[in-house]
Amino acid sequence: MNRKPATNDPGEARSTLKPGVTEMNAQILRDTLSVLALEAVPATTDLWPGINRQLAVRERPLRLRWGLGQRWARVAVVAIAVVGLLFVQSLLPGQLSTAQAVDLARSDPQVEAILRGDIAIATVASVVNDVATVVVQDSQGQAVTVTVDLRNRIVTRVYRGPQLSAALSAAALAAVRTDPRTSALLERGATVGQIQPIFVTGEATDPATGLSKEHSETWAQVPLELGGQEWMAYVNLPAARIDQLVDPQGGQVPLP
Amino acid sequence: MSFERAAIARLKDGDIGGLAVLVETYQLQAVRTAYLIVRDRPLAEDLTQSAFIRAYERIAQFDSSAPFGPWFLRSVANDAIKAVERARRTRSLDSDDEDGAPAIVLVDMAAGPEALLEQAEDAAAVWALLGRLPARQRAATVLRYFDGLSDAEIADQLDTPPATVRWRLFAARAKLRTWLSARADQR
Repeated sequence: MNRKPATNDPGEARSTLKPGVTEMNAQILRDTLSVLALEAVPATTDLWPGINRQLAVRERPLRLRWGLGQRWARVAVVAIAVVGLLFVQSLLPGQLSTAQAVDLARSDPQVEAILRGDIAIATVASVVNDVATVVVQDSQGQAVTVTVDLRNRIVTRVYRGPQLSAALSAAALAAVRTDPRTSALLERGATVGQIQPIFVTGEATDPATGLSKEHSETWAQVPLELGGQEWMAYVNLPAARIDQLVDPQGGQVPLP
Repeated sequence: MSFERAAIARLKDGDIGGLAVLVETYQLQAVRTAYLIVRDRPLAEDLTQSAFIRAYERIAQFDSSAPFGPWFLRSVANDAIKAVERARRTRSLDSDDEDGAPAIVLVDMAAGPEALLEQAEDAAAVWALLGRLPARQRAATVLRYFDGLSDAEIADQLDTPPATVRWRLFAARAKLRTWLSARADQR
C-alpha cells in the first residue's frame, strides 16, 4: 500500500507550521467552497418541476392498475396469504441455522441503514446459548455486530461499528508499549484509556498497472492520560506501529 | 421551523404541496453539497432530486419532531459518496486532477489585481485538492467547511464513528497544509 504520508496531527493548532497557515487553511476552505458552490449552483436552481414531473409519472400507472384490477388485487392478496402461511409453517420447526442467522442479520433494517456499501463480509463469530453473534461488514470497512436469537428467530441487538477484537486491541497496546515515545509515557505512569477503532482511507497503487484505488484499513486510536493531560496515539495495525502521536497541545510528537 | 412542520404534516397527509415547500427550502444547500462532493452539477441535481422523491416516499418513517434538514442532507451526502465511489471503480484516479475544474471562479472584484490572482489561485488549488481526496474525506471536508457541521454531526450524517471523521478531516487538512506550505515557500 502506497499511503500518502500524513504530515501532521488531527487538531487545528500546529506548532510545526508557519504562523497563520492553519487559520488560513480553514478560512480558505470555507470561503472557497462557498464561492465554488455558489458559482456552480446559482440561486435560480429549481428542482421542483422535475420532481413534480417524476412524481406524476410514477403515480399515474399505479392509479390505473388499481382502478382496473381490484378483482385481481383481491386474488393476489389471497395468494400472498397462502404462500406466506406455507412459508411461515416451513420455518416453524426447530431453530435457525447459522446460515439463516447470517441472512437475518444482513437483511435487518438497522443493519441496512448503517451499512451503505455492498456487503463484503457476513460471518458468524460465535454461537453461545442459542445466540449467534454475526459480524457484517461492507465494502468500505464499516461493520456492525449483530446478535441473533436462533430459537426465537429475531435480531436482538445491533452494535454499530466494529469493536476492536481482543487480538487487535492487544496489537494496538503492543505497538504503544514498543514505541519509545509512548513507552516513556507509560514508564512515567501514564494510563491507557479506551482503545477505539478508526477507519483510515488511503490509496493503493497496483505496481503492475500503476493505477491507484481507494483502500480502507482499520486502525486503532489509543488515548494515554498522564497528570490530567491526554496524548492520542493513532496505531497503524497492519504495520504494527504508531503512525501519529498527538500531544495534549495538539502538536505531533516526533520520534526521538 | 413551524412552516417546516406544517409542510411535513401536509406531506404525511398525502399533500404534495408539502414537498414543494421542503424542496424550496433545502434544494440549494443540498445541490451545492452534492456538487462539491461529486463535482458534476447535473449529477448533483439528479441525486438531490432522487433524494427528495425518496423522502416523499418514506416520509411516514420520518420523526416529525426532528428537523428535516439533517435527515435529508444525510441522504444526499451518502448518495453523493456512493456516486463518487462508483465512478472511481470505473476509471483511474489519475484523471482526478483534471476533472470538472470550474471554468470561472468568483472573485471579489473590489480587490486589487494581486489579491484577485491569489483568490483565483486559492479556488483553483482547493478545487484540485478536493478532487484528489477520497470520497469520504471529501464529504467530511464539505460537511465541515461548507455546511458547518461539527464532528459529531458529520459522524451522524456519514454513519461513522467521530474518531473516523476527525481522522478524515485531519488527512484532508494535512494535504491542504502541505500545499499551502509549499506555496508560502514559493512566495
